[in-house]
Amino acid sequence: MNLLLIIASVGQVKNSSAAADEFVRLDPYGVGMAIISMSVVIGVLAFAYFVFHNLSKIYSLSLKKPSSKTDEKKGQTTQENTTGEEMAAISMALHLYKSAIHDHESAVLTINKMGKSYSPWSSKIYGIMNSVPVVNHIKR
Amino acid sequence: MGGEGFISFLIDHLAQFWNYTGFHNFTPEHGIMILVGLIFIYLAIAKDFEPLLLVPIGFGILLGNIPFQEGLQIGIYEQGSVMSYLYLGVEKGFYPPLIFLGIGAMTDFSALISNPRLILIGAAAQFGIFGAYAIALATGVFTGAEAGAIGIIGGADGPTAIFISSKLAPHLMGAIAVSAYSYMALVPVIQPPLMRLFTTPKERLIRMKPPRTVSKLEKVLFPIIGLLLTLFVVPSGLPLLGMLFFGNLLKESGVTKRLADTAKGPLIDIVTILLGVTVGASTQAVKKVIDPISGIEINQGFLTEKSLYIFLLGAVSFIIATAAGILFVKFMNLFLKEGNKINPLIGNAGVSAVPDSARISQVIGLEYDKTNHLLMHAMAPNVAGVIGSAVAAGILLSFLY
Repeated sequence: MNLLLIIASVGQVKNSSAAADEFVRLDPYGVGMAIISMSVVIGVLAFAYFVFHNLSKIYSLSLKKPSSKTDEKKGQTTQENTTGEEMAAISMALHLYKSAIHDHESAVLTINKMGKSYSPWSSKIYGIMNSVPVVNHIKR
Repeated sequence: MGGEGFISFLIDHLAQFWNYTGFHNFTPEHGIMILVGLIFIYLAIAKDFEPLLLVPIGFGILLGNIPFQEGLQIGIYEQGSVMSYLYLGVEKGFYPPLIFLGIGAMTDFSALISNPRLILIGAAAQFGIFGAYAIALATGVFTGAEAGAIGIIGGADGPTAIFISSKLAPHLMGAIAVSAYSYMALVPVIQPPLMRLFTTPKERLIRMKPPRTVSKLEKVLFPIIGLLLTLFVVPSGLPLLGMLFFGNLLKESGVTKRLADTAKGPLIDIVTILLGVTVGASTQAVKKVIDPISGIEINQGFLTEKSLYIFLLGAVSFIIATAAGILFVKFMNLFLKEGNKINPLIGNAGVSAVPDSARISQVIGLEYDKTNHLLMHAMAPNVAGVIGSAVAAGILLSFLY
């Protein structure tokens, strides 16, 4: 009864401090305020829970229905609700797979033995170290 | 004769200048507040406690407590001063909605959408607001409007606290804002002992199902449905909730990236600077006003008995809010099947100190099980707490304003 009086009185008061004073006069311990306010806060957020809980159900249903038919016909992939852990496992598997290929590839490229037989025509020793006298063979 | 006159002129004007200096006008109250400002700056820089808020507020406290002689249009409460114009955003309450716009643009509500039942924890934690309101009334020191403004500290939401106090008790705004931000910075100190006190070792090991992936459509619909749901019930929360959901739509729509980037970047940074500095500066130790009833000069500055009460009640409201969140999870678990139970260590996150309280859930959870990551789950009640505290603020306004 007192709560109803509080709610009814609040709408009638115009002055801000007068509204607060009137409210406190009717509810001196703040119990009414706590009950009304917590009911409203929980009510609003519970309603939000109800809406979003059902929204996700409706959304998932609307996605599954058309996709299940087309998949059989066309063989396309479906968009499923995969969890974070599944995503992490898939990502890790892909990462390991790609890393493995790369490692093998680089090993083949680096171990290549090069062999070359000696040839005096390509030896730098004669050109740099030995001081071979330069003879001018140009005919005058 | 002329020389003596000139010397007396110099002495007179030097004395006059001395009267203008901070040294002459200094009182012990100024000293205490300067010390408080320095502690805030120290906590922010050395201890990394909410530096983005405590540095501007701490420096603002230094600015607001430089002793001066009134009449030079320099003080934050002096009409026409630069500081008073910057303070208009706090006084008229247009800084907090702009901050909420930025918060909306940077908040990911996926955790909440994927597990909507966790919204209810955010609602339960608002009990701190109304618990503190009831205790404030019981002290007999505060009026109804003042008690409402103090109670909102329990929402652990700085912009909301400033917004509500600017409407219900503007003269207490400095103390309320400083108290709210102080306790938000001290969340890592206040919450862990309460989390251990109200939970059993078995409860702390509860593993929750990983959240499902959320589609883009759901993310886009969330701010629109959330706005309509909350504001049709509590229209007085329009400035805060309207901007919060608008910012979130800018982020999630995917077509307004530039606007979202501005809201969560430069805009929120500018407003945070202005809000922090002016709120800090509003904590002027000495603010003499003439009492309209008795005609006697009284101090309505920061250092009063009421400020002390506000700090105590702020701590009480944080404790009630944290306890209510944890106990509500335990209550929910009574009705949930094995495997669907909620770890009560995320109950503390219902107070909307984003993301610190969610981080505390993660840290405490890892203490008991190194592989049990609670952060994603705790983010749901954490962002629900932001919505819940704005709804609670709207209710307080509709009853007490």
